[in-house]
Amino acid sequence: MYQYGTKEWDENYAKIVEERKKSEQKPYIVGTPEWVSEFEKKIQGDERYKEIAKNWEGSVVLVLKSDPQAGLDNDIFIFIDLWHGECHSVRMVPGEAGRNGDYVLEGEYERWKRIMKKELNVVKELATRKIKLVPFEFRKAAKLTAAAQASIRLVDLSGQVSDIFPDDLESEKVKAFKALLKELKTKFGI
Amino acid sequence: MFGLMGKILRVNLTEGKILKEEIPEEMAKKFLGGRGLASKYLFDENRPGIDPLGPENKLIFMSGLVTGTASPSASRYSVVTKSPLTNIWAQSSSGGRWGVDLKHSGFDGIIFEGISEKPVYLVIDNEKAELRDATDFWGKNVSETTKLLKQKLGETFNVASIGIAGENLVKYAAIMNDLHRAAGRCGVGAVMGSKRLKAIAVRGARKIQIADERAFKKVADKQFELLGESILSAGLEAYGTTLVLDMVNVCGGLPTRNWQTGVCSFVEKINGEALSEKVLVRPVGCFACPIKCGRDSEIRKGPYAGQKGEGPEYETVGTFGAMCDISDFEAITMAHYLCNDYGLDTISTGSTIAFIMECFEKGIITKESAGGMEIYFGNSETMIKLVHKIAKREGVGDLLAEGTRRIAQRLGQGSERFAMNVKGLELPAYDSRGAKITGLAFATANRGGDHITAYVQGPTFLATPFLVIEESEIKDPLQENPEEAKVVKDMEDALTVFDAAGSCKFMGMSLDAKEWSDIIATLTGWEFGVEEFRKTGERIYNLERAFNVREGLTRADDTLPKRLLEEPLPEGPAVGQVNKLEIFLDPYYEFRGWDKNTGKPTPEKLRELGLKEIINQIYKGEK
Repeated sequence: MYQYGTKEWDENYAKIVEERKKSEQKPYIVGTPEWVSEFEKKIQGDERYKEIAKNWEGSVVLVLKSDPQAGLDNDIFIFIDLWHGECHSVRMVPGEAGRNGDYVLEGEYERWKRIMKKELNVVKELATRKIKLVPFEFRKAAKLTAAAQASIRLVDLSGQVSDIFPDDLESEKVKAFKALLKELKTKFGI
Repeated sequence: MFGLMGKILRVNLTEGKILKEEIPEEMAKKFLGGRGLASKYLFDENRPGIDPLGPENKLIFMSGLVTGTASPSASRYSVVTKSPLTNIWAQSSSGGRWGVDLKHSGFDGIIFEGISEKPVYLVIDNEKAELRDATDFWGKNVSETTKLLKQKLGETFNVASIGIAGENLVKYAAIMNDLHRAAGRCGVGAVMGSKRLKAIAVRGARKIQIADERAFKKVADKQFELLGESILSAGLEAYGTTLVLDMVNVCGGLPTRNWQTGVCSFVEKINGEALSEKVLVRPVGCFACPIKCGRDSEIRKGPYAGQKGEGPEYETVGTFGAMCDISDFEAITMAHYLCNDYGLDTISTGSTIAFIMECFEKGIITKESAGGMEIYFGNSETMIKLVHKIAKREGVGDLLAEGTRRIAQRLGQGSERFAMNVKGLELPAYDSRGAKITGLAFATANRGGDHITAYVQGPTFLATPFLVIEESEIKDPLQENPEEAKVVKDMEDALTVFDAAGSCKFMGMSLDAKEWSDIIATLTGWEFGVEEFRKTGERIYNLERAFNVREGLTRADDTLPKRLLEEPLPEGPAVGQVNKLEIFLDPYYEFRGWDKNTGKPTPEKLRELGLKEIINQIYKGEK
């Protein structure tokens, strides 16, 4: 397994992303490395996000809790590296690295899906603790409130990348999705 | 009676008589307390057309149904009267702990009537009430009056009083309690001044009876627990209400230079972080509040260094800061302290100064007509001088003390276009061209141009839904979606219940209607579910509307200043936007069950809400 934080991990992760972007068709399936890469591009190209998040400092990690029926045998950690309106990168990362992010937002897969599909409001989900800031820290919670518009913009952008979710797939594709996640787990610790 | 003390005081100031009266439980069930109960008394007792500053106008103080209990933020009382600023129904609510102490003194409320021959104050001490001579306190401001009264009566008394502004009948004078807390809007302080009532000092240890103590405590504890881990509570505690300055500005909706633009270029100098850095001492909260959005503060540098107080809060910074184009945070804080001490509403004061700055810029008022003052935007020294002059009605301050509507009527020359009020009440610091639905809420609020009647700024500018209604989401704030008029109606009704219950409206962001209904049901022993919660809010809201209809208000009054309707925003994310109010009005009246032509609640609606006894009063001679 590649060691997260090493050049080898970075290079091989970039490689798998590029390979899959060539082999897979758009819109990509939510929760795959190619989808994550497209999400990164969306944020980086969004002027509105740059404006409303110009004071934001710190990484945000979306934790999609495992849901075997939906095709997720393990939790997925999506690490979004943000600073003053810029998005440095968005990557799937191992759990340990994800937990070290500045703002770790954890929720059931189904809730994240509904948020990305704009059926639920992310601020409301945070306010009602359906999506949790883990661990809950007063200072961070305050910063999140002040950045409510930026949070909404981020999830809006994620929804613009694709509306194909793993549990919407036919059984053969679900198998392939599960196999991909298994491979990512084995090679990258994701 | 459970929840309420079940009694009010009726104080006739002309005759110097005080009576105790019981509150009928059936009336309490329909109107709860606070704003609801007070509005019922006002509707029944005020004759239409009377002078708000005359002896016939009633001035009613009423604590909320849950005020003084262990429910979160159960601190508030309402003052209800006919407004001298708007000439319609007036309500102003305040937190702190005065409302709690009033209730613990043995009374839910006080109705003042008549006018005293000489200045007086009322003392209530554990169910004993007495009017006393206030000649020695007349001419003094809030801090001094409070200090002297506490010296005279004892530190355990809590004081609500007017300052010089109320005595001078400034049309937007406030009533202050706990030194820094304001029943600020609509000029309720001027009504108190007109009655020569300087202050009310209260003390008491009467217990509030709870129908099911164990169940009530369980529900209240759960609410505290939920609020303890709410990101919204954390945001408000960390930054106070100034939290929202950046959020409004990035939508292009922070009114700047008297609403000439919605983008404030110096927002980082006046936002929540600036407050924390420049003046914050510590966060402070009202009675039983888990949030603590208040700011204990001190000015540390500049000409006002050493001044202490509470605040400023969002509206003060929005009006004295962005609207007046002033980035000097210390001066904004000083203006806030002065308003609190003189007893002035910061929204109307700041807005009125911003308005006169634009009049000066346009040559409508000159240095000569302003008594030698040069009233430029951005001049913080002038702004501070004007606050003094308004409170004392000195020079140009005498004109400014009348509020933007009357000033514009007097000055003319097109100034009505940018006199930023609705029904005479100055608008708060949210430009409705940056979130269209908020224009509807400004236009229809019962007390005039106001944000917290519906607080639809929450789901728009702040991207924060209110859980207390089922659906508060606004899909695109820059679009007029007629269906979303229902959100305004629903929020008006729900937040009315908060004023009647005596709870802070911020609680409606984090807790839902079921959780609030449970509080009321376990407190009172009444059958009170979500349906009753909604109907009660709607009933009170319709009663207030009926009061205004009886005073002559029509659909034509549900409008906005011309600037919002006709002048597109010149820059920012909402560039080019104006309010197309008419798209919302018909659907709003439909959702309300009001006549689309007249804006009156229909007889069917009034019957449905259990208000059939008032039908004849608003359809006199028609049906």
